[in-house]
Amino acid sequence: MSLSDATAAIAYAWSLAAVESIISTGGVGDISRLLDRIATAPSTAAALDDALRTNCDDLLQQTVAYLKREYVR
Amino acid sequence: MRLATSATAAFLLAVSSCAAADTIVLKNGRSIEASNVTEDAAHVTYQTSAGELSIPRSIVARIDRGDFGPFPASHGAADALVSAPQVQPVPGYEDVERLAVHDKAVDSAYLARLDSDALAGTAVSIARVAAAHHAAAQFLLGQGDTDAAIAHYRRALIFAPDNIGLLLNLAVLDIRENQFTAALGPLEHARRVAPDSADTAKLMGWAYYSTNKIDQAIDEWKRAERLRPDPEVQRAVEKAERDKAEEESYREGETAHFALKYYGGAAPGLARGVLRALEEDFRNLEAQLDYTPPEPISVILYTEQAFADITRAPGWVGALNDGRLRIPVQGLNDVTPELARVLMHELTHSFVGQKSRGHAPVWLQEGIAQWMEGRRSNAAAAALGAWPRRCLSWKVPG
Repeated sequence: MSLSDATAAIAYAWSLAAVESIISTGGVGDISRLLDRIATAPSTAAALDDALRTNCDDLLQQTVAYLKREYVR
Repeated sequence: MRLATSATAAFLLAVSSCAAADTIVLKNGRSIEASNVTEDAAHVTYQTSAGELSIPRSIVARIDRGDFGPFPASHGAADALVSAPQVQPVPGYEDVERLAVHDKAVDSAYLARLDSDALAGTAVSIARVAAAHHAAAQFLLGQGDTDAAIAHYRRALIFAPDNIGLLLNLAVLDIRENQFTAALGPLEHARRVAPDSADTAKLMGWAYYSTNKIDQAIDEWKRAERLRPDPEVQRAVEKAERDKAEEESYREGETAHFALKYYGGAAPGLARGVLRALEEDFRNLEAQLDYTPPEPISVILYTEQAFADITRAPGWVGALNDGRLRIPVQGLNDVTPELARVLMHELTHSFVGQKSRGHAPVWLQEGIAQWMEGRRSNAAAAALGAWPRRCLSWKVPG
Protein backbone atom coordinates (compact mmCIF):
# COMPACT_ATOMS: atom_id res chain seq x y z
CA MET A 1 0.00 0.00 0.00
CA SER A 2 1.63 3.25 -1.05
CA LEU A 3 -0.36 5.93 0.69
CA SER A 4 1.13 9.01 2.24
CA ASP A 5 0.36 9.41 5.93
CA ALA A 6 -1.94 12.32 5.21
CA THR A 7 -3.86 10.64 2.41
CA ALA A 8 -4.22 7.49 4.47
CA ALA A 9 -5.52 9.47 7.43
CA ILE A 10 -8.19 11.16 5.33
CA ALA A 11 -9.24 7.87 3.79
CA TYR A 12 -9.47 6.25 7.21
CA ALA A 13 -11.50 9.15 8.56
CA TRP A 14 -13.94 8.92 5.65
CA SER A 15 -14.28 5.18 6.01
CA LEU A 16 -15.15 5.56 9.70
CA ALA A 17 -17.61 8.33 8.97
CA ALA A 18 -19.37 6.27 6.30
CA VAL A 19 -19.71 3.28 8.62
CA GLU A 20 -20.92 5.52 11.44
CA SER A 21 -23.59 6.98 9.20
CA ILE A 22 -24.77 3.51 8.15
CA ILE A 23 -24.96 2.37 11.77
CA SER A 24 -26.72 5.55 12.87
CA THR A 25 -29.45 4.85 10.33
CA GLY A 26 -30.00 1.12 10.68
CA GLY A 27 -27.79 -0.18 13.48
CA VAL A 28 -24.96 -2.70 13.29
CA GLY A 29 -27.45 -5.11 11.74
CA ASP A 30 -27.20 -3.09 8.53
CA ILE A 31 -23.45 -3.65 8.48
CA SER A 32 -23.95 -7.36 9.01
CA ARG A 33 -26.50 -7.52 6.17
CA LEU A 34 -24.26 -5.48 3.90
CA LEU A 35 -21.34 -7.87 4.49
CA ASP A 36 -23.57 -10.85 3.74
CA ARG A 37 -24.61 -9.27 0.46
CA ILE A 38 -21.07 -8.26 -0.44
CA ALA A 39 -20.08 -11.90 -0.06
CA THR A 40 -22.34 -12.90 -2.92
CA ALA A 41 -23.15 -9.76 -4.95
CA PRO A 42 -21.22 -9.02 -8.14
CA SER A 43 -20.06 -5.64 -6.81
CA THR A 44 -20.11 -3.41 -3.76
CA ALA A 45 -22.59 -1.14 -5.55
CA ALA A 46 -25.00 -4.05 -6.05
CA ALA A 47 -24.61 -5.07 -2.40
CA LEU A 48 -25.31 -1.51 -1.21
CA ASP A 49 -28.44 -1.48 -3.34
CA ASP A 50 -29.61 -4.92 -2.16
CA ALA A 51 -28.84 -4.50 1.53
CA LEU A 52 -29.36 -0.79 2.17
CA ARG A 53 -31.29 0.47 -0.86
CA THR A 54 -28.63 3.07 -1.47
CA ASN A 55 -25.71 3.71 -3.79
CA CYS A 56 -22.22 5.06 -3.28
CA ASP A 57 -23.09 8.64 -4.21
CA ASP A 58 -26.06 8.69 -1.84
CA LEU A 59 -24.00 7.08 0.89
CA LEU A 60 -21.39 9.78 0.53
CA GLN A 61 -24.04 12.50 0.78
CA GLN A 62 -25.64 10.72 3.72
CA THR A 63 -22.23 10.63 5.40
CA VAL A 64 -21.66 14.35 4.91
CA ALA A 65 -25.14 15.11 6.28
CA TYR A 66 -24.52 12.79 9.22
CA LEU A 67 -21.22 14.49 10.07
CA LYS A 68 -22.78 17.92 9.91
CA ARG A 69 -25.72 16.85 12.04
CA GLU A 70 -23.72 14.99 14.67
CA TYR A 71 -20.44 16.84 14.95
CA VAL A 72 -20.43 20.29 13.34
CA ARG A 73 -21.87 22.97 15.55
CA MET B 1 -4.45 -2.73 9.30
CA ARG B 2 -4.19 0.05 11.81
CA LEU B 3 -2.59 3.43 11.35
CA ALA B 4 0.27 4.34 13.61
CA THR B 5 -0.46 7.32 15.83
CA SER B 6 1.63 9.76 13.82
CA ALA B 7 -0.55 9.27 10.76
CA THR B 8 -3.72 9.87 12.73
CA ALA B 9 -2.32 13.09 14.12
CA ALA B 10 -1.59 14.30 10.63
CA PHE B 11 -5.23 14.10 9.69
CA LEU B 12 -6.33 17.67 10.33
CA LEU B 13 -3.44 19.06 8.33
CA ALA B 14 -3.95 16.81 5.40
CA VAL B 15 -5.18 17.83 1.99
CA SER B 16 -4.41 15.36 -0.75
CA SER B 17 -5.87 14.33 -4.05
CA CYS B 18 -7.70 11.04 -3.98
CA ALA B 19 -8.23 9.02 -7.13
CA ALA B 20 -10.34 5.90 -6.99
CA ALA B 21 -8.53 2.64 -7.79
CA ASP B 22 -10.32 -0.50 -8.91
CA THR B 23 -9.38 -4.14 -8.56
CA ILE B 24 -10.02 -6.61 -11.36
CA VAL B 25 -10.39 -10.01 -9.72
CA LEU B 26 -9.63 -12.88 -12.07
CA LYS B 27 -11.24 -16.30 -11.91
CA ASN B 28 -7.88 -17.84 -11.04
CA GLY B 29 -7.74 -15.77 -7.85
CA ARG B 30 -5.20 -13.21 -9.06
CA SER B 31 -6.12 -9.55 -8.93
CA ILE B 32 -5.05 -6.48 -10.85
CA GLU B 33 -5.15 -3.00 -9.37
CA ALA B 34 -5.91 -0.45 -12.04
CA SER B 35 -7.69 2.78 -12.81
CA ASN B 36 -10.29 3.74 -15.39
CA VAL B 37 -11.60 0.20 -15.71
CA THR B 38 -14.19 -0.20 -18.44
CA GLU B 39 -15.84 -3.34 -19.75
CA ASP B 40 -17.83 -4.56 -22.70
CA ALA B 41 -19.16 -7.98 -23.61
CA ALA B 42 -15.77 -9.32 -24.67
CA HIS B 43 -13.07 -7.32 -22.89
CA VAL B 44 -12.12 -5.50 -19.73
CA THR B 45 -9.87 -2.53 -20.39
CA TYR B 46 -7.86 -0.63 -17.79
CA GLN B 47 -5.06 1.85 -17.30
CA THR B 48 -1.76 1.01 -15.65
CA SER B 49 1.52 2.82 -15.40
CA ALA B 50 2.48 0.85 -18.51
CA GLY B 51 -0.47 2.26 -20.47
CA GLU B 52 -3.86 0.89 -21.49
CA LEU B 53 -4.25 -2.89 -21.30
CA SER B 54 -7.09 -5.22 -22.18
CA ILE B 55 -7.95 -8.75 -21.05
CA PRO B 56 -10.76 -11.15 -22.07
CA ARG B 57 -13.98 -10.64 -20.09
CA SER B 58 -14.26 -14.43 -19.75
CA ILE B 59 -11.32 -14.66 -17.31
CA VAL B 60 -12.65 -11.93 -15.02
CA ALA B 61 -14.63 -12.97 -11.95
CA ARG B 62 -15.59 -9.45 -10.92
CA ILE B 63 -14.47 -5.84 -10.69
CA ASP B 64 -14.25 -4.28 -7.24
CA ARG B 65 -14.67 -0.55 -7.53
CA GLY B 66 -12.47 1.65 -5.40
CA ASP B 67 -15.49 3.54 -4.10
CA PHE B 68 -14.51 6.05 -1.42
CA GLY B 69 -10.98 6.82 -2.27
CA PRO B 70 -7.38 5.93 -2.17
CA PHE B 71 -7.36 2.61 -0.36
CA PRO B 72 -6.15 -0.28 -2.43
CA ALA B 73 -9.25 -2.34 -3.19
CA SER B 74 -8.02 -5.45 -1.49
CA HIS B 75 -6.96 -5.89 2.08
CA GLY B 76 -4.28 -8.03 3.59
CA ALA B 77 -6.72 -10.24 5.40
CA ALA B 78 -8.18 -11.35 2.11
CA ASP B 79 -4.96 -11.55 0.14
CA ALA B 80 -3.44 -14.89 -0.61
CA LEU B 81 0.25 -15.62 -0.69
CA VAL B 82 -0.24 -17.65 -3.82
CA SER B 83 -2.90 -17.59 -6.50
CA ALA B 84 -5.25 -20.40 -7.39
CA PRO B 85 -4.18 -22.55 -10.33
CA GLN B 86 -6.54 -22.65 -13.29
CA VAL B 87 -7.28 -26.28 -13.99
CA GLN B 88 -9.74 -27.43 -16.62
CA PRO B 89 -11.21 -30.73 -15.37
CA VAL B 90 -12.03 -32.12 -18.83
CA PRO B 91 -10.68 -30.17 -21.80
CA GLY B 92 -12.40 -30.56 -25.15
CA TYR B 93 -16.01 -30.40 -24.03
CA GLU B 94 -16.72 -26.78 -24.89
CA ASP B 95 -20.01 -27.79 -26.52
CA VAL B 96 -21.20 -29.25 -23.23
CA GLU B 97 -20.11 -26.11 -21.38
CA ARG B 98 -22.08 -23.92 -23.78
CA LEU B 99 -25.19 -26.05 -23.23
CA ALA B 100 -24.76 -26.06 -19.46
CA VAL B 101 -24.60 -22.26 -19.22
CA HIS B 102 -26.40 -20.07 -21.69
CA ASP B 103 -28.50 -16.92 -21.68
CA LYS B 104 -26.74 -15.87 -18.47
CA ALA B 105 -28.09 -18.85 -16.51
CA VAL B 106 -27.29 -22.44 -15.63
CA ASP B 107 -29.48 -24.91 -17.52
CA SER B 108 -30.51 -27.13 -14.61
CA ALA B 109 -32.60 -29.43 -16.78
CA TYR B 110 -29.61 -30.10 -19.04
CA LEU B 111 -27.40 -30.82 -16.03
CA ALA B 112 -30.02 -33.18 -14.60
CA ARG B 113 -30.04 -35.10 -17.90
CA LEU B 114 -26.25 -35.38 -17.83
CA ASP B 115 -26.37 -36.55 -14.20
CA SER B 116 -28.81 -39.24 -15.24
CA ASP B 117 -26.69 -40.27 -18.26
CA ALA B 118 -23.58 -40.45 -16.07
CA LEU B 119 -25.19 -43.12 -13.91
CA ALA B 120 -24.42 -45.46 -16.80
CA GLY B 121 -20.77 -44.92 -15.92
CA THR B 122 -19.31 -44.59 -19.42
CA ALA B 123 -16.16 -42.51 -19.73
CA VAL B 124 -17.80 -40.05 -22.10
CA SER B 125 -20.90 -39.52 -19.95
CA ILE B 126 -18.71 -38.91 -16.91
CA ALA B 127 -16.49 -36.46 -18.78
CA ARG B 128 -19.56 -34.61 -20.00
CA VAL B 129 -21.11 -34.30 -16.56
CA ALA B 130 -17.79 -33.12 -15.08
CA ALA B 131 -17.41 -30.48 -17.81
CA ALA B 132 -20.98 -29.29 -17.35
CA HIS B 133 -20.76 -28.93 -13.57
CA HIS B 134 -17.39 -27.19 -13.88
CA ALA B 135 -18.90 -24.70 -16.35
CA ALA B 136 -21.87 -24.13 -14.04
CA ALA B 137 -19.58 -23.66 -11.04
CA GLN B 138 -17.36 -21.16 -12.84
CA PHE B 139 -20.39 -19.21 -14.04
CA LEU B 140 -21.86 -19.09 -10.54
CA LEU B 141 -18.51 -18.07 -9.13
CA GLY B 142 -18.52 -15.14 -11.51
CA GLN B 143 -21.92 -14.24 -10.08
CA GLY B 144 -20.51 -14.35 -6.56
CA ASP B 145 -22.42 -17.50 -5.57
CA THR B 146 -19.59 -19.56 -4.09
CA ASP B 147 -21.88 -21.94 -2.19
CA ALA B 148 -23.65 -22.98 -5.39
CA ALA B 149 -20.31 -23.34 -7.18
CA ILE B 150 -19.05 -25.65 -4.41
CA ALA B 151 -22.26 -27.68 -4.67
CA HIS B 152 -21.64 -28.22 -8.41
CA TYR B 153 -18.08 -29.43 -7.81
CA ARG B 154 -19.27 -31.81 -5.10
CA ARG B 155 -21.98 -33.11 -7.42
CA ALA B 156 -19.47 -33.66 -10.23
CA LEU B 157 -17.13 -35.51 -7.89
CA ILE B 158 -19.84 -38.06 -7.18
CA PHE B 159 -19.45 -39.18 -10.80
CA ALA B 160 -15.74 -38.44 -11.24
CA PRO B 161 -14.17 -38.79 -7.77
CA ASP B 162 -10.58 -38.96 -9.05
CA ASN B 163 -10.75 -35.97 -11.40
CA ILE B 164 -7.84 -33.75 -10.37
CA GLY B 165 -9.34 -30.62 -11.91
CA LEU B 166 -12.56 -30.99 -9.94
CA LEU B 167 -10.69 -31.77 -6.72
CA LEU B 168 -8.38 -28.76 -7.06
CA ASN B 169 -11.15 -26.36 -8.01
CA LEU B 170 -13.17 -27.51 -5.00
CA ALA B 171 -10.14 -27.05 -2.74
CA VAL B 172 -9.59 -23.51 -4.06
CA LEU B 173 -13.16 -22.60 -3.19
CA ASP B 174 -12.85 -24.12 0.27
CA ILE B 175 -9.69 -22.10 0.85
CA ARG B 176 -11.36 -18.91 -0.33
CA GLU B 177 -14.15 -19.63 2.14
CA ASN B 178 -11.52 -19.96 4.88
CA GLN B 179 -12.42 -23.62 5.22
CA PHE B 180 -8.78 -24.65 5.25
CA THR B 181 -9.24 -27.96 7.02
CA ALA B 182 -12.06 -28.86 4.64
CA ALA B 183 -9.80 -28.00 1.69
CA LEU B 184 -7.28 -30.60 2.79
CA GLY B 185 -9.84 -33.37 2.06
CA PRO B 186 -9.93 -32.94 -1.74
CA LEU B 187 -6.23 -32.04 -1.76
CA GLU B 188 -5.19 -35.24 0.00
CA HIS B 189 -7.37 -37.20 -2.41
CA ALA B 190 -5.73 -35.37 -5.32
CA ARG B 191 -2.30 -36.26 -3.88
CA ARG B 192 -3.23 -39.94 -3.88
CA VAL B 193 -4.45 -39.76 -7.47
CA ALA B 194 -1.54 -37.70 -8.82
CA PRO B 195 1.37 -37.52 -6.36
CA ASP B 196 3.43 -35.25 -8.62
CA SER B 197 0.93 -32.43 -9.04
CA ALA B 198 2.61 -29.07 -8.38
CA ASP B 199 -0.80 -27.45 -8.11
CA THR B 200 -1.82 -29.82 -5.33
CA ALA B 201 1.36 -29.03 -3.40
CA LYS B 202 0.89 -25.30 -3.93
CA LEU B 203 -2.65 -25.42 -2.57
CA MET B 204 -1.71 -27.67 0.35
CA GLY B 205 0.96 -25.14 1.29
CA TRP B 206 -1.65 -22.40 1.18
CA ALA B 207 -4.05 -24.36 3.41
CA TYR B 208 -1.31 -25.27 5.90
CA TYR B 209 0.06 -21.73 6.05
CA SER B 210 -3.42 -20.38 6.72
CA THR B 211 -3.85 -22.76 9.65
CA ASN B 212 -0.49 -21.73 11.11
CA LYS B 213 1.25 -25.01 10.18
CA ILE B 214 4.31 -23.24 8.84
CA ASP B 215 6.63 -26.28 8.64
CA GLN B 216 4.11 -28.23 6.58
CA ALA B 217 3.43 -25.19 4.40
CA ILE B 218 7.14 -24.80 3.65
CA ASP B 219 7.46 -28.52 2.86
CA GLU B 220 4.55 -28.37 0.44
CA TRP B 221 5.70 -25.19 -1.30
CA LYS B 222 9.21 -26.54 -1.66
CA ARG B 223 7.76 -29.70 -3.14
CA ALA B 224 5.73 -27.55 -5.57
CA GLU B 225 8.91 -25.68 -6.49
CA ARG B 226 10.73 -28.95 -7.22
CA LEU B 227 7.86 -30.16 -9.39
CA ARG B 228 7.40 -26.86 -11.27
CA PRO B 229 9.40 -23.73 -10.45
CA ASP B 230 7.13 -20.78 -9.84
CA PRO B 231 8.30 -17.32 -8.64
CA GLU B 232 5.08 -16.84 -6.71
CA VAL B 233 5.61 -20.05 -4.75
CA GLN B 234 9.25 -19.12 -4.19
CA ARG B 235 8.15 -15.81 -2.64
CA ALA B 236 5.66 -17.67 -0.45
CA VAL B 237 8.44 -20.01 0.75
CA GLU B 238 10.66 -17.04 1.57
CA LYS B 239 7.91 -15.34 3.55
CA ALA B 240 7.03 -18.54 5.40
CA GLU B 241 10.72 -19.13 6.21
CA ARG B 242 11.01 -15.59 7.60
CA ASP B 243 8.02 -16.34 9.80
CA LYS B 244 9.50 -19.65 10.89
CA ALA B 245 12.93 -18.22 11.73
CA GLU B 246 11.38 -15.49 13.82
CA GLU B 247 8.93 -17.75 15.56
CA GLU B 248 11.30 -20.57 16.46
CA SER B 249 12.11 -18.95 19.78
CA TYR B 250 8.49 -18.07 20.41
CA ARG B 251 6.18 -19.63 22.91
CA GLU B 252 2.67 -20.73 22.10
CA GLY B 253 -0.70 -20.36 23.73
CA GLU B 254 -4.11 -21.53 22.60
CA THR B 255 -7.77 -20.95 23.34
CA ALA B 256 -10.95 -22.11 21.67
CA HIS B 257 -10.66 -19.55 18.88
CA PHE B 258 -7.01 -18.48 18.81
CA ALA B 259 -3.53 -19.89 18.33
CA LEU B 260 -1.06 -17.40 19.81
CA LYS B 261 2.70 -17.18 19.36
CA TYR B 262 4.84 -14.69 21.22
CA TYR B 263 8.46 -13.85 21.83
CA GLY B 264 9.83 -16.05 24.60
CA GLY B 265 11.14 -13.09 26.58
CA ALA B 266 7.77 -11.35 26.70
CA ALA B 267 5.88 -11.16 29.96
CA PRO B 268 3.76 -14.34 30.36
CA GLY B 269 0.96 -12.24 31.78
CA LEU B 270 0.83 -10.28 28.55
CA ALA B 271 0.15 -13.39 26.45
CA ARG B 272 -2.59 -14.52 28.83
CA GLY B 273 -4.09 -11.05 28.83
CA VAL B 274 -4.05 -10.87 25.04
CA LEU B 275 -5.83 -14.21 24.74
CA ARG B 276 -8.41 -13.15 27.32
CA ALA B 277 -9.04 -9.87 25.51
CA LEU B 278 -9.28 -11.59 22.14
CA GLU B 279 -11.78 -14.14 23.41
CA GLU B 280 -13.97 -11.36 24.75
CA ASP B 281 -13.66 -9.44 21.47
CA PHE B 282 -14.49 -12.63 19.60
CA ARG B 283 -17.74 -13.03 21.50
CA ASN B 284 -18.67 -9.39 20.93
CA LEU B 285 -17.99 -9.54 17.20
CA GLU B 286 -19.76 -12.87 16.91
CA ALA B 287 -22.89 -11.31 18.41
CA GLN B 288 -22.72 -8.01 16.54
CA LEU B 289 -21.86 -9.36 13.11
CA ASP B 290 -23.84 -12.59 13.44
CA TYR B 291 -20.90 -14.64 12.22
CA THR B 292 -18.46 -17.23 13.60
CA PRO B 293 -15.13 -17.79 11.82
CA PRO B 294 -14.81 -21.50 11.10
CA GLU B 295 -11.09 -21.91 11.89
CA PRO B 296 -8.93 -20.80 14.84
CA ILE B 297 -7.28 -17.43 14.19
CA SER B 298 -3.51 -17.17 14.32
CA VAL B 299 -2.04 -14.31 16.39
CA ILE B 300 1.62 -13.34 16.70
CA LEU B 301 2.99 -10.82 19.19
CA TYR B 302 6.22 -9.17 18.01
CA THR B 303 8.83 -6.85 19.29
CA GLU B 304 8.72 -3.64 17.20
CA GLN B 305 11.87 -4.57 15.28
CA ALA B 306 10.72 -8.10 14.51
CA PHE B 307 7.39 -6.71 13.32
CA ALA B 308 9.12 -4.42 10.84
CA ASP B 309 11.50 -7.15 9.68
CA ILE B 310 8.87 -9.81 9.18
CA THR B 311 5.95 -7.86 7.79
CA ARG B 312 8.02 -5.38 5.74
CA ALA B 313 5.08 -3.04 6.29
CA PRO B 314 5.39 0.73 5.80
CA GLY B 315 6.34 2.72 8.88
CA TRP B 316 2.84 4.06 9.37
CA VAL B 317 1.36 0.61 9.83
CA GLY B 318 0.80 -0.03 13.53
CA ALA B 319 -0.38 -3.64 13.32
CA LEU B 320 -1.31 -5.97 10.52
CA ASN B 321 -3.75 -8.71 9.62
CA ASP B 322 -2.60 -10.69 6.60
CA GLY B 323 -4.52 -13.77 7.61
CA ARG B 324 -2.53 -13.84 10.85
CA LEU B 325 -2.94 -11.05 13.40
CA ARG B 326 0.54 -9.53 13.74
CA ILE B 327 0.75 -7.21 16.72
CA PRO B 328 3.83 -5.31 17.94
CA VAL B 329 3.90 -5.27 21.75
CA GLN B 330 7.42 -4.25 22.71
CA GLY B 331 7.73 -2.90 26.23
CA LEU B 332 4.25 -3.97 27.35
CA ASN B 333 3.63 -6.13 30.39
CA ASP B 334 -0.13 -6.18 30.22
CA VAL B 335 -3.00 -5.32 27.88
CA THR B 336 -3.14 -1.54 27.85
CA PRO B 337 -6.23 0.29 26.54
CA GLU B 338 -4.32 1.07 23.33
CA LEU B 339 -3.35 -2.58 22.81
CA ALA B 340 -6.95 -3.61 23.51
CA ARG B 341 -8.10 -1.30 20.71
CA VAL B 342 -5.47 -2.71 18.35
CA LEU B 343 -6.59 -6.27 19.10
CA MET B 344 -10.25 -5.45 18.47
CA HIS B 345 -9.36 -3.58 15.27
CA GLU B 346 -7.33 -6.41 13.80
CA LEU B 347 -9.74 -9.12 14.90
CA THR B 348 -12.56 -7.22 13.24
CA HIS B 349 -10.64 -7.52 9.96
CA SER B 350 -10.69 -11.29 10.35
CA PHE B 351 -14.45 -11.33 10.89
CA VAL B 352 -15.22 -8.84 8.11
CA GLY B 353 -12.85 -10.49 5.65
CA GLN B 354 -14.29 -13.93 6.26
CA LYS B 355 -17.95 -12.93 6.48
CA SER B 356 -17.69 -11.00 3.20
CA ARG B 357 -15.57 -13.80 1.68
CA GLY B 358 -12.80 -11.33 1.09
CA HIS B 359 -14.96 -9.08 -1.10
CA ALA B 360 -15.48 -6.14 1.29
CA PRO B 361 -13.84 -3.00 -0.10
CA VAL B 362 -11.09 -1.63 2.09
CA TRP B 363 -12.97 1.54 3.05
CA LEU B 364 -15.70 -0.64 4.56
CA GLN B 365 -13.25 -2.97 6.31
CA GLU B 366 -11.35 -0.09 7.83
CA GLY B 367 -14.50 1.79 8.77
CA ILE B 368 -15.95 -1.20 10.60
CA ALA B 369 -12.64 -2.03 12.28
CA GLN B 370 -12.28 1.53 13.58
CA TRP B 371 -15.88 1.60 14.77
CA MET B 372 -15.52 -1.72 16.58
CA GLU B 373 -12.35 -0.56 18.37
CA GLY B 374 -14.40 2.35 19.70
CA ARG B 375 -13.15 5.14 17.48
CA ARG B 376 -15.70 7.80 16.51
CA SER B 377 -15.55 10.68 14.08
CA ASN B 378 -15.68 13.61 16.46
CA ALA B 379 -12.00 14.54 16.22
CA ALA B 380 -12.02 14.65 12.47
CA ALA B 381 -15.58 15.58 11.67
CA ALA B 382 -15.18 19.33 11.47
CA ALA B 383 -12.58 19.05 8.76
CA LEU B 384 -14.55 16.44 6.85
CA GLY B 385 -17.74 18.45 7.13
CA ALA B 386 -16.02 21.45 5.61
CA TRP B 387 -15.14 19.54 2.46
CA PRO B 388 -18.40 18.22 1.09
CA ARG B 389 -17.85 19.63 -2.38
CA ARG B 390 -14.37 18.21 -2.58
CA CYS B 391 -15.31 14.82 -1.22
CA LEU B 392 -18.42 14.50 -3.31
CA SER B 393 -16.21 15.02 -6.32
CA TRP B 394 -14.61 11.64 -5.57
CA LYS B 395 -16.65 10.07 -8.30
CA VAL B 396 -17.82 6.60 -7.40
CA PRO B 397 -17.81 4.38 -10.45
CA GLY B 398 -20.93 2.44 -11.44
